[in-house]
Amino acid sequence: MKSTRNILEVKDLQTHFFTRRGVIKAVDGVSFTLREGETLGLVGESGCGKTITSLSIIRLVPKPAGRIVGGEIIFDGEDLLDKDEREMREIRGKRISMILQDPMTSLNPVFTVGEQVAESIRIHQKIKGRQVDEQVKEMLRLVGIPAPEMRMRNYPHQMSGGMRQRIVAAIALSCQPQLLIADEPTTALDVTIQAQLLRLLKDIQTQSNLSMIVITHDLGIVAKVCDRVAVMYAGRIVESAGVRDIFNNPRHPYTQALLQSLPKLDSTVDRLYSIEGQPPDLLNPPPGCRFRPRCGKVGDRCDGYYPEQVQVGEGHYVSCWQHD
Amino acid sequence: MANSQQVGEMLNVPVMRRRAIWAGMTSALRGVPIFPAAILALFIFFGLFGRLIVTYDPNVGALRDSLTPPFWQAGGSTKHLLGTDPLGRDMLSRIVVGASTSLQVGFFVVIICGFIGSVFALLSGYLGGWVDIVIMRLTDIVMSMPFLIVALNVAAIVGPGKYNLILILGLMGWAGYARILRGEVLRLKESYFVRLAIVAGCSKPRIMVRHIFPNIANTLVILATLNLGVIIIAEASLSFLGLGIPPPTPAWGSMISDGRSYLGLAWWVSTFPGIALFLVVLSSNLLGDWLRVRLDPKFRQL
Amino acid sequence: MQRYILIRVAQALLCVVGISIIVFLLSYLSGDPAVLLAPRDASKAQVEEIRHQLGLDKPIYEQYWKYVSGAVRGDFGESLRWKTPVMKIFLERFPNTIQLALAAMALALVIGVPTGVLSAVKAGTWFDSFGKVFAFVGQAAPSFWLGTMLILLFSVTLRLLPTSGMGSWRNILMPAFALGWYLMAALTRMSRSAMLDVLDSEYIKMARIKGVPEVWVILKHALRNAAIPVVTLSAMQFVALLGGTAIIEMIFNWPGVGKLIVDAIFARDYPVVQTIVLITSSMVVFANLLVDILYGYIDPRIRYQ
Repeated sequence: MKSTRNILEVKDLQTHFFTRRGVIKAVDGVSFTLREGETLGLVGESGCGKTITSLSIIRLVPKPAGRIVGGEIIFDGEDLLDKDEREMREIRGKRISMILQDPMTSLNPVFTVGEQVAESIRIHQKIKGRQVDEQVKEMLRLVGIPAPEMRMRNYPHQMSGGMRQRIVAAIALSCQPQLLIADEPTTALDVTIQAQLLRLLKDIQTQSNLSMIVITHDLGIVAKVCDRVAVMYAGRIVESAGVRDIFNNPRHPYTQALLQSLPKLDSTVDRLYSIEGQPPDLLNPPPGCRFRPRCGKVGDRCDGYYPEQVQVGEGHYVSCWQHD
Repeated sequence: MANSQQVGEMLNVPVMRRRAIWAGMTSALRGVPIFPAAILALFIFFGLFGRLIVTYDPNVGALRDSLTPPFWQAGGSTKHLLGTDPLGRDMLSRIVVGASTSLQVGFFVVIICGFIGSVFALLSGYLGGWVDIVIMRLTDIVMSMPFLIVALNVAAIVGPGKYNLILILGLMGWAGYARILRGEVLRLKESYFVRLAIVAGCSKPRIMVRHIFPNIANTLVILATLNLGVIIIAEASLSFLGLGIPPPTPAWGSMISDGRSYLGLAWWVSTFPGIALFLVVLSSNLLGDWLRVRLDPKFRQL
Repeated sequence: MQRYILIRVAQALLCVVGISIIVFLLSYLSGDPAVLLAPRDASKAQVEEIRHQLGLDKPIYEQYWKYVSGAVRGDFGESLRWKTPVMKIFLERFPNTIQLALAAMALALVIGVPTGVLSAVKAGTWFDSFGKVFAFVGQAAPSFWLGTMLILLFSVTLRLLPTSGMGSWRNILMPAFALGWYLMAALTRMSRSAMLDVLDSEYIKMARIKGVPEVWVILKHALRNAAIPVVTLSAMQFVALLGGTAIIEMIFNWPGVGKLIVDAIFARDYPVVQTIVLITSSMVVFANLLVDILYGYIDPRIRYQ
């Protein structure tokens, strides 16, 4: 029985990049909530701001160009934007954890995988020596790595991609975090390995009431693991709903287009559908709806006014003038 | 059966590549750092036309003018702006003419080393096998032997002189080029356009020269500009020790050496030629570095 | 790891053999020692006699073999000037050169690497600009000119340091600085560039995500990866350092191997020249071998190639 408490509430988050050419509004007013024990999928194409959103939550936005300029990030009741660096460091790795896309480059090539898992444990839990080793082995077993005593001493380059990503998961989960952010966790993996990793994450979630945010552009993954979905476009969330609603009743033209581009096994087409055009330049976003140039359902308010968010079903919100 | 040239022309591959390289090079020239380029250009100008523009004969001096200080010091005059050396020769003239020596040796040696290095790299990298092993061991050997000492040794055998020096430095300096360019050749060997050329029936020499070489040319140019400074300093070192360019031809290295016995009395004799050396090498290094960043931003190892 | 070491050792030995051949050929072409040893007015027959005594009329490969078998036993012949075994002379001077080279290396590491690392960590600030300027200036100034200028400043003008000789730290300071200057600059550049690369990588991001304190991110996670190219460069530059001792020793009158060989070259004392080139080259090969092995320890990926 999932709890009804919100573990994370992001309200009107704005993260901008100050470059020589101007200000890039990478995240321009993003709001969503995540219930404890739930998995939220953050979906969108490259450059829409989903990665920056996740980096903003743990406050590791690339300096000096990037900065969080507005909004609130309420984690477990506290606004993370009020905390100083030392407090954030205690939260990182221990209460909020992250998995990055490419397991090969996420692991330090000169340390053994055991050492890299152990480091997290040593930093956040005050235990040393033999106890740490035991925990490391326990973590490796948890993520499904056979023969942990031997594998601990391996270096990253000696392991396969799937196993490396499990190690990354082990590091992320080693201190029993409350929130796990997975940024494209399966993109660099083979399809079969993808399935294994996702199942692993789901199993761990049921055991420990872990809340997850999965960032992906792959709707197939969303269908498998997410409870709720938020679709992002050009720095803003254009639609959010439960996973069933998103697939069965998408209301935003962008969501609809995304679903249409998924190849279906049971029908044959001459050409795969793809959305024409490019996302807008975030240096100077247009005043109206940002999807307008690529949208098939343009109406007269779309050019001038950014669509307000309306509720179209239970837990289902969309920002579109033409959502019917 | 179409030959490789026809296939190449059909696919437009070699022509596209050539155009791309040229376009790359000319667009690369935008944004050249001004000061280093200007200084280098100035010294090249001195090197080419120095003898024509100097007011004094750099090889001849009047002993009564010996060790005149530069014009801003007491005892100096505007007759000799940078003073004179122990034999009364005008410092400024000698420095200007000395540019020709340093730059000639520098450019020729770099060209020779670049040539040998490229040839070895192509043979070694592309042909592999025994050729590779032999060339690599040869490279190891040459790289292990202390440059200066062996050059000194050979210079002692064959005698001093500008062309001897060029030959010696050229025969010793190619190893770095060979090693690095070989790495590039190995990488390029696996690329699609080389495979296409093989499929089209190109002979090995043709592939090496027309397909692979143009793509390592970038790196070669970078190595050459970065190496120029090293060679100029090497020549100066040999001249400093007395086994480089023989007197009375002005060479910055030997000028610095001349001034050593007079450090207390005449600091300028050793200082100014060194400043000239420093400026030339610095400019060449800065240009080389800019070129490196401009032509290939992924170029990290150097 | 064993296999890796074995291959490297075999390559190193091959290298040394090749060097010995070159060295031998060089001295063979240098001139006829018999002519030099014989008295001025010696007749052709007498010179021939001397040649025969020295074994110089034997075929070249026999001479080479004689040379090599002697060398392996440590017998490198005698100096033409002093009639003492070359090995003995070499061993007397060698520690002095090592002392100088180590001092230069130490200065270069202690000043160069932290400057480069700090430059990278504080990229974009004034310290970074300073570091970059320092690096460029250092690589452009010829060591012998720098040495001369140092003498001009500290010995002649300020009278703070002696110009020559060995003894106290005062004697070694200037030569070590002049010798190590180029390496200092090169290390600054290399450390900075390697550090910048590493700081940009995903695993450093991960370390921060894990909550590792920034100090440890730099000193533990970043530095060890950045060390790899820095170590390589140091090894390669060691070659240049050895060559550079010759000039510095000449300028500062430092009684080391470099001065020995330059004097020997001018004096046409071929056994000395030959031997020193062989020994120093072999040392370079050996040093590179050591570095390769060290490399294998630092970067585990190399071991399993």
